Amino acid sequence: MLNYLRADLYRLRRSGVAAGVLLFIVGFCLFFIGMNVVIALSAGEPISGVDFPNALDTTAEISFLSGFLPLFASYAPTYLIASDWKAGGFKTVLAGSGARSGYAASKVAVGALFTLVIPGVMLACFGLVPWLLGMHIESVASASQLLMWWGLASLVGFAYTVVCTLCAILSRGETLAWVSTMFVGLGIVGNGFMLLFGMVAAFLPPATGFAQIAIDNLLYAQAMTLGNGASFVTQDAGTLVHTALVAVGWAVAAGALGWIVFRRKTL
Amino acid sequence: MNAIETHALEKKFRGKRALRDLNLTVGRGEIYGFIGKNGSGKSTTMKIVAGLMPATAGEVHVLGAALAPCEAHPAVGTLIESPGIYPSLSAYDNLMVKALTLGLVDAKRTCQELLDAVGLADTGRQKAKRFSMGMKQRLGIALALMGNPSVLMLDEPLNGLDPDAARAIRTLIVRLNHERGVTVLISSHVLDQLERMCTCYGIIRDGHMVRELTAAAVEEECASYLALSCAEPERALATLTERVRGARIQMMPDDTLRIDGEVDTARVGEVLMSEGIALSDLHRTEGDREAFFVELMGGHDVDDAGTAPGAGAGRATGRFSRRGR
Repeated sequence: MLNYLRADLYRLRRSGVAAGVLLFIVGFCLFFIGMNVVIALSAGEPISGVDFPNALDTTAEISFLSGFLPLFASYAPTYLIASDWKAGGFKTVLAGSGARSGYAASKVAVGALFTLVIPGVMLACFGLVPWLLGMHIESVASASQLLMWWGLASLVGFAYTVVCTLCAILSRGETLAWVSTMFVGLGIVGNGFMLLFGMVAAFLPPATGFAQIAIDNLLYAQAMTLGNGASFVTQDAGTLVHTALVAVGWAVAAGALGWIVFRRKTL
Repeated sequence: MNAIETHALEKKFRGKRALRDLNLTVGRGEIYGFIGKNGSGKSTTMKIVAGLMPATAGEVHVLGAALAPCEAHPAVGTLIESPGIYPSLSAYDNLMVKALTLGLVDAKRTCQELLDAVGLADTGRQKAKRFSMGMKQRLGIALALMGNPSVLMLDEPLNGLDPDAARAIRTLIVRLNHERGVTVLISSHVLDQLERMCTCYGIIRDGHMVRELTAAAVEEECASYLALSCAEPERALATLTERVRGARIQMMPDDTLRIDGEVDTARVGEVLMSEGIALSDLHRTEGDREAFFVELMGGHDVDDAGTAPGAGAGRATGRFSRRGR
């Protein structure tokens, strides 16, 4: 698995994909901050008077209202898999002993790395740049809150990324790999699942308990109500743990299902 | 110990048999030309040996080890279907990706050596998508050579190449065989190129191995000979056997005589005339390897000859028809 990971990171570096994704994130953040500055300046206010929202809230809003985080975290592994399908040469490598598990695990690891890095970059941009520009920013209550949210956001993003990665591997084609990632990454499939479980619970009351365990819309709901001052850290520990476990559960379930299919798939 | 052996290999696709009772034997150090029409089962055989698909029945042995279905032998390098190149990376980076995947210790040095070996050392940072077909094929061979394999399987590596590029690939294969002792299993439609490098041939037809023979055997079967027709073939056979030295004479089923060896046509005529044996035909037949192989493969596709544009020109260069069975 480590050999595959090294090769994947080399490809991402040399092809410019890693730099491209991170530059896009930074560019997007700067554009967002810049818009705030332009609006303030056009209204005749000094930059120091601009009240830039909390970095946490902004990051969460952009990440979860738009599916931004899962989509961009999934971009790198999907690029690797899609280009593998296009080139076709990886098939001979996958015929080696234990190669398939290493291949899949490496792509999931790349996704995990990006789900961890992207919110961090966004937090850094939304926290540091307004501060450097002298804008008025809200401070985060404590570093632990920041880390907790960062971890939670990464975990949920990771669950989506695992699903994306395995869909891309099983898609057997470059275009299908991208399409599946777009759907899952944009949250369409993810939210569709949640809605489906909700409907099952509505029509099958005995399934309500199962649906409550398998569904979690905490981050999405929080992002929708950011304007009211809601924050992840105000939730009780049980709710946060449930959110984390649901993400882990989906990642494990998708990983296991994908692996069962992939290990026997004819190349 | 042979490099590759298959025993009674069978493969079915949705009930249709692609391979039937296929026995293939590639000795170590050989350059084995795998010849057959399109759809005859060459690629299927190579994919099974490479571990890319399971056989329906039969066994595959590589370097003495029996392989499980969909298992690749680590000492086999393959170039099957496409070179497997990432177009957005340079030749060096493509090799590095594979070297890192295989976990090679001295990846950078190995990649540079392979680039030198295939003649792509001067491509620098040029992306593979800008490479010519010949350069891509050479890069594909370099990728197949990663990890220093003992056996190389190349599925139609000469397809789409101009004569110069085909010659470069052929020279490379021969050099790898001579210098590194790499056993090569190569399939191709370009017979004249195969003839210049192969030491053995296997001819496959409708998923079945028709014949395996050495280059020397092909040489012998396709050598030029004198064909002779006369009124008294038995007496002519006895006379020529007695009076023409160095001739190997045999009676053919159609009562003509076949005379092999360095024999002067005029001398044969003189001997028979002196014995009063009337000749009806005496001519030298040049050996035609293409015809020999085509016959073993099952002949040309008749429809193709009549309908496909440029079909005649294709055959003139030693290619088989593009139609399948």
